[in-house]
Amino acid sequence: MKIHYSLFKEVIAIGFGIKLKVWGDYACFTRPEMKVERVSYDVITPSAARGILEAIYWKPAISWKIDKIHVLNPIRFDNIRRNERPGKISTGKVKTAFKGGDAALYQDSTEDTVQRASLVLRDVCYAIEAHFEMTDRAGPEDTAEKHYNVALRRMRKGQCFHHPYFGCREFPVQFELIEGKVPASCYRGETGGERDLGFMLYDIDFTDDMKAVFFRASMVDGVIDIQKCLCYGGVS
Amino acid sequence: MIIQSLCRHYDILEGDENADIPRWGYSSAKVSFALVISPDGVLSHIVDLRSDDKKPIPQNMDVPIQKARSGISAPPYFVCDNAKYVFGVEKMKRGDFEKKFHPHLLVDDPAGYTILEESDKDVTLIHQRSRKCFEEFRALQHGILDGLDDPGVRGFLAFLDGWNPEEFLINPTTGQYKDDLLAGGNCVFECNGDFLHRKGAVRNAWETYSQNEAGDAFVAQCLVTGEVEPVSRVHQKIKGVVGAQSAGASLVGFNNDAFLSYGKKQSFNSPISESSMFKYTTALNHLLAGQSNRIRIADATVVFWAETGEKSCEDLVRFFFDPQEAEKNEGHEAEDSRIQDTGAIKQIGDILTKVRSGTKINQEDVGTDPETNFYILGLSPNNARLAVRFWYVDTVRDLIAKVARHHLDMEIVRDDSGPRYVSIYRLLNETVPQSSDKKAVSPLLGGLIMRSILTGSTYPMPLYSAILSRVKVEGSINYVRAGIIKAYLLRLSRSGLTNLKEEVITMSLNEESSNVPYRLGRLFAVLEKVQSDTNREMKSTINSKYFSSASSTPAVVFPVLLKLAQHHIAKSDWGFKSSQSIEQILAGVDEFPAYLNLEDQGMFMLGYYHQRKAFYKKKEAVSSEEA
Repeated sequence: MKIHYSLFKEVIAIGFGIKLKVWGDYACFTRPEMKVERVSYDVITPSAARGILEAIYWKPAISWKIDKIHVLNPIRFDNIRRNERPGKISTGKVKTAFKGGDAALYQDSTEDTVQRASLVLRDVCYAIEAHFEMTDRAGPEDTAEKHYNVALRRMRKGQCFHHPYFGCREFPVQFELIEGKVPASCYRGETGGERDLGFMLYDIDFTDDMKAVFFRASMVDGVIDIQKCLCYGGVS
Repeated sequence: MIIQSLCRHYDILEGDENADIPRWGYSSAKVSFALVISPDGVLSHIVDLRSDDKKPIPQNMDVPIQKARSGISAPPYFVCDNAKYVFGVEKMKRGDFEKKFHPHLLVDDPAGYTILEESDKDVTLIHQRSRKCFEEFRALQHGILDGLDDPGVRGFLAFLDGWNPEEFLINPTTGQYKDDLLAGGNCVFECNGDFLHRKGAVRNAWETYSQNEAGDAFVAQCLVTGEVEPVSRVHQKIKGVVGAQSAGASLVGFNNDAFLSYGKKQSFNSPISESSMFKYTTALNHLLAGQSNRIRIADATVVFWAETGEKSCEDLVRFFFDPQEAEKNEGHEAEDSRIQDTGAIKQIGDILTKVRSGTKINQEDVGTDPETNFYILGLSPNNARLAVRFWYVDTVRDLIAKVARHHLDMEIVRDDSGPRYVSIYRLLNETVPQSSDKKAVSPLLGGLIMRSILTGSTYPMPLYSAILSRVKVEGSINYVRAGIIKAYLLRLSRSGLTNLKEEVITMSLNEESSNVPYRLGRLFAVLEKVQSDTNREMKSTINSKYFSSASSTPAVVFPVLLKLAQHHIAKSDWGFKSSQSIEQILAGVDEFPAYLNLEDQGMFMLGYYHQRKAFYKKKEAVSSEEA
C-alpha cells in the first residue's frame, strides 16, 4: 500500500483554478493493457489533461493538478488502422553519433513498418478544471499570481509551447479558456446518475521508479471529480 | 473495460455449478493418453483417450495450469506433459535433425545424442536437452509430491525414478504407442484407479506449491482490481481466434521495443495481477472454446456474453446475428431441432413486432432481466497478437431492440427460398463477386456494419456502394441486396442526410410512388419482361446489355429501350397489356434524368426488384387458379 502521497496532496486553494475547453476530431488515451493494438479509455485521463496544460504553460516552479473533467460530448469509438514502427532508435547509436561516430539515426519506414489497428475516440470535447501548486523549485520571484496570469494570458491567446494533443501526436487539441460557466455535459441528468468507468491511469509516479498509479473513475452527470475519486478510496 | 468485464464473467462462471471452467491454478489441456502405473512403479499399459474419429481428437481435461512456454529450457508441467518431458525422448524430422546435430556443432561432445530409431524421414532420439527435460520433469514432481503418503503417488514417483529414456522402444508398452506418443500430445497418469491430477491430495499439494511460487514476484497496483498484488509477467495465450497461430495469441503482450515505456519489461508495462490475468484469459478461452458464444464476421472472431449465468439471452442474440446455421439444421436434422428453430423464429418475430410498434421489451421476451449488461467483443489476429476490432457494452434490452431494428429495416418482399433473417456473414458475402474463389471481404467492413447495427446509426457507405456495383456488374438483385439497399436508404432518410422521404422506401411494390428513379427501375423490369415474353431464348438481353447504364444514365438508354420494346410489343400476344403498364409507369415521369446519383441508383434497383417480385407473385396466383 505504499503510494506517494505527494501525488494526492489535499487541495488547499483552488483560488487559482482555470477552466479549459478542449476538443478535437480524434483521441486515443491508450489503455496500458491494450497499448500495442491500441484501445482507448472512455474518457481523457488526468495525466493526458495535465499534458495538455503543460503544453500550454509549464515552469519548474509549478505543477498542474487536475480537479474535474467534464465530458461534454457523447463517448463514441471508431476503428482506424495506421502504419507504425515496431522499433526504437537505440540509445547506443545516439551515443555513438554524439561522440562523433558514424551511426544512422533514423527509422526506415519501408523496412520497418507494421500495420496496427486502434480503437480510438471520435469527436471528443472536454472541459478541464485544474489548478497548480508551487513546487519546491520555486524561487523568491515565483508567485502564484504571476504564473496564474501568465497561464491565463497564454490560454486566452491560444499560445502553446508545443501543440497539445489527445494521446497521439496525430490527434491535435483545440483549446479555449472558459471564463464563464462550463457548458452542460450531454450526460447531465442521465438515468442512473453515476457511471463507473473502472480503474483508470491517474499518472506515473516519477519519484517512485516510474510506477503507474490507477484510480477508480466515476462519472456523475458527465463530470469526473478527480480529487473526490482520489479521496474516496479510489486509490488503494 | 474488456479485461475487467471478462474477469467479472469468470467470477459468474465460477459460481455456476453447471459451467465447466477451470479453477485458479488449473487450465484446460488437450490430453491424448493416460499412462497407467501400478503401485510398484511399473507402466502397465496405456489408455488412448482420443476420439474414434478418422482424425482422433484429444480430450479436454482440467489439469494443473500449463503456462505459455517457449525456448529451449522451458519448464516442465505438473502431472501432465508431453513425451519429451515424460519419457525424455523426442522425434524430429530428418532435416531438422541434421540442422541441429550437424557433426561440426558437436565437436566438443560427440556423444550428445543417442539415436533410438531412424528412417528416411524421421529420427527418434534422446539428446541432452530431451534428457534434461525429463530430469526437470522428474525433479518438479518430486519437489511437489515428496512427503505425500499416498500409494498412487509413490508408484508414480517410483516409475519416474526407475525410468530410463533408452528403454523407450524396448519397453513393450511404450513401444506399442511410440508414434502416437511422440506426436506431441499430452499424457496424464492413472495410479491406483484414479487420475493423478484429480486426486485431492495431489491437488492440495499443487495449490500450496503454486501459492508459494507467487510469493517473490514483482508487486504493483493491478489495473483491474486496484489492489497491490503480484503482477503477471507473461499472459496466457488466447486460443480459438480464427486465423491466429494455433498455439494461441496474446491479447496483452509486448514483443517489440516500441511498446515499452519507462524502461519496463514485458507485461510490467500494464500491471495486471496474476489472478486477474488468470481470470480474463480463462474466461475468454472458455467463451472461444464453445460454439454458443462465438460467431465469425468477416475476418473477425466475435464473442459475446451477458453478465449473468442464464444463457437464454445469449442464445437469442446469437440467433439474431447468425440465424443461418439454425435454418441449415432445419433442412436435414431431426424433428427436435425443427421445433426449436421455429420456436426461436417465433420469438424473434414477437420481438420484431414489439420493436415495430415501439413497445418495451421485457423479461418474458428475452428470458433474462433486460437491464443485464451485454458485451460484444470482436477480435482479429495480427501475428502473435490479437487486435480488438470492436467492443460494445449495452443492456440486453437496448441491444435486442437495436438488432431487431436492423432486421426490420432489412425486411423486404421475398420468395420463400433462403433464410428469413440474414446473417451478417451472408450480408458481407454479398459485397464480393459470387464467382470469385477468394471471397475476401474488406476487413474494416465487418466492424463498421456491427457498429451501425449496434448503435442504430446509418449503414456504412462502402457497404452500400459495394452492393450497388455488384448489382450493376451482375445485373441481378436478390432479396439480401435489395434488403441492404432498402435499409441503407431508410436509415439515411431517417437521419435526414438525404432528400428521400422515408415513406417512399417500402417493403414491396409501391405503385403510388412518384419517385422518378423508382419508376424507372420499375420500367426497366417491365421492358425486360416484354423482351423475354416475346423472345424466350436470348443470349444477350436488355438486362445484360443495359442494366448498368440504365441505372446511372437513364436519358441515354431509355429512349433506345422504349424503341426496342415497340418491336417486342408488336410481336407479343400480351402486347397491349405491356404498353398499358409502360404508360402507367411513365405517367409520373416528365423527362428521363441525365444522371442518377448513388441514392437514386439505389431507388432504381429497389423499383426494379419490387416490380419483378410483383410479376412473380401474379404469375403464381394465376397458376394456382388454373390448377
